[in-house]
Amino acid sequence: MIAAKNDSWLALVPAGAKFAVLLLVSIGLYLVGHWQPLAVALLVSIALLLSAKVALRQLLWPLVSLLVIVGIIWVLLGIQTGWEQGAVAALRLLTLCIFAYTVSLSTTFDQMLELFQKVASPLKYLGANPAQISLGLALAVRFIPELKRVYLEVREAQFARGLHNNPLAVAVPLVIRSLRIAEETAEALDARGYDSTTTP
Amino acid sequence: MHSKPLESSPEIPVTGAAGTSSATKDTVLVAVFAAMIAAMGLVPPITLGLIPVPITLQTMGVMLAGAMLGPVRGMLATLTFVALVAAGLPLLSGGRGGLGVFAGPTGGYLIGFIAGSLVIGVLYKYWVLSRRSKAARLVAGFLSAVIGGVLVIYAFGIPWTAMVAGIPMGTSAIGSLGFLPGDLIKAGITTAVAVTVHRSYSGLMK
Amino acid sequence: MIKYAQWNVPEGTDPPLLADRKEPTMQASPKAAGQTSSVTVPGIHLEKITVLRAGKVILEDITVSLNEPRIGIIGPNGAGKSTLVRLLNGLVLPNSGTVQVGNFTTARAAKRIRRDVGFVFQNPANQIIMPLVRDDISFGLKNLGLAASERLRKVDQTLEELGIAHLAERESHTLSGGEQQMVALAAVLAMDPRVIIFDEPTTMLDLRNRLRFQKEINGLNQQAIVVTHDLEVLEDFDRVLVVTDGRIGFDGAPGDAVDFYRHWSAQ
Repeated sequence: MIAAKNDSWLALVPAGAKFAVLLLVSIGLYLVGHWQPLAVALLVSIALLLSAKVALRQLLWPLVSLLVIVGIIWVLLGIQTGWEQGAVAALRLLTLCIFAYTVSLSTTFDQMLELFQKVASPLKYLGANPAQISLGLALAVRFIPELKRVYLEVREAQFARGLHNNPLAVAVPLVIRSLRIAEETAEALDARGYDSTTTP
Repeated sequence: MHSKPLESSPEIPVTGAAGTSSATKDTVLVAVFAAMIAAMGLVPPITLGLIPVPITLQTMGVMLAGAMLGPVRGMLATLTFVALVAAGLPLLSGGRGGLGVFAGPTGGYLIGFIAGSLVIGVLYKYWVLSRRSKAARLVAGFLSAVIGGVLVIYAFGIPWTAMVAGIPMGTSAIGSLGFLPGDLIKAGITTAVAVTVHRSYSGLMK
Repeated sequence: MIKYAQWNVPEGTDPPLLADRKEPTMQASPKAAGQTSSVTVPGIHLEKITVLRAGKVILEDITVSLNEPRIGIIGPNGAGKSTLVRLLNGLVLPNSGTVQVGNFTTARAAKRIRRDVGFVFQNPANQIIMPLVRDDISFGLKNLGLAASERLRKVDQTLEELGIAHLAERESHTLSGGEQQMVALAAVLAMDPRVIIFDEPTTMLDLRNRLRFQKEINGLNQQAIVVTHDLEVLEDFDRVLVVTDGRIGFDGAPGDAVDFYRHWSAQ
């Protein structure tokens, strides 16, 4: 759910502003108790989503699963407490999610990370190092495919040994290899002159 | 079974005690465990119960982060993972990610992950790992994993679902009961893994 | 410590046992006049080094100077090779003794020494830090304090020199093992070290990548210290150390060192 190449007007709005608006909208939606204004809000959110020129293909599956959930909620609440209240909850959820997706899809991953680092920067008064935060995020992104590969490798090895239904046989080597990866990577960081005490 | 990977490369010296920076190592551990939580969610999930919260090994990754790294680093690992989801990486089951997830009915569980790993970390560091016998460690470890990995996470997830979906708390709670068996099994596995690995990596939680 | 520069084993006779060795005769390496003649070395000296880990002796009483352009280190698993080379940039600090590189000792100035001593690890996957190749190579330069424009120039130049400019915008995890190791080398080379240490750099590579990587090592303008199980790499080296049981069991010309190691291993 990342903005691929987005050149809409929304992509030019700073990520922080979009987040702030999203937060206000989410609070606002919970203050509304009738379905009519919520239906209007839903139309606004859809209009915004379309104006952001996002690749709708990217949204297909999230939207389908969201609609299923919303449908279930509506039916559930409709039977239990009345159809109107069900509609309010369903509309609210749908609207909020579409707003959130719109923000996500019009903001690049880098912009998001930058925003997080800004948000986290007051932590430096508590002894945290902003440079370490950005390194940590970059490293995590770097190691997700690596860890997935390790996981599949370990699972394959245990399958080969006939340990099909033994989650321990997968989890123990996975954790140990993760620790080893961390050790070696920390060494590599040190060897390349990374100094966790200085800020860039 | 678990001794093999340890022996596979005996030449890498034990770091940390040496000229390497422990702050750097902590950052890397946090990042690698965040990546592990993510990787565990990228395998096929199992769906149980009426409310569609899919079951993956992801919660086990959250429990392991706390149990292996302790409260601070464990929580930071989970926080890193949650931040990457919020930033838009499709790391949740079914390729979900982005802010929409937090607005949706399961958003509370994600926030609960952060608190859960913190609680498990505290309990492991100050209670579980100071037990002498292996049996006591396993019992305390399992209880800790259930408290942090089930009770705390549910304490965030259930009210959130109730609020977001506008359903009564009781309905939300009953809906999440479907995940209890799976989560208890994951707490059990987490305990066995953590107790086993801490025995050979004793300096992991300073 | 026994130091053997020249230790020829006459054909048909078993090499003498360690205890039977005579005093060594040091001899300048004849190979230094070859392609590596332009290499300047910073001067590395280890003095009475002992390393303990968890009460176990990893390296014991090692005194050695490493000043040849191409030095190989071989020996069995667990003998202490990896620890020995990690001493050279302060990744491991000795329990007693000093490691001197140029004018600095690792105990006091490990960070300064790491500017001069680059390190290429065995597993390329774990030493590439950033999600993008370009950012990864830039990472070390950032640590050196280079400005963004300078980093950009240096990254491009290094990738160009190694013939891997096409990898610049790739995501790290999509690289093959051979490509990863080349990127790891680029990341180290970009920082302009005076010595590069390789810890089993070709172990995880296929034959083709192994040959290519060996060629890169041979052509370096820097001093290279290479830990390896790949004995063919050592052919043109100036000097080879055999580390056995935490000591330097042999020190001399490549051919003799390999003979010693083969015989030692067969025992």
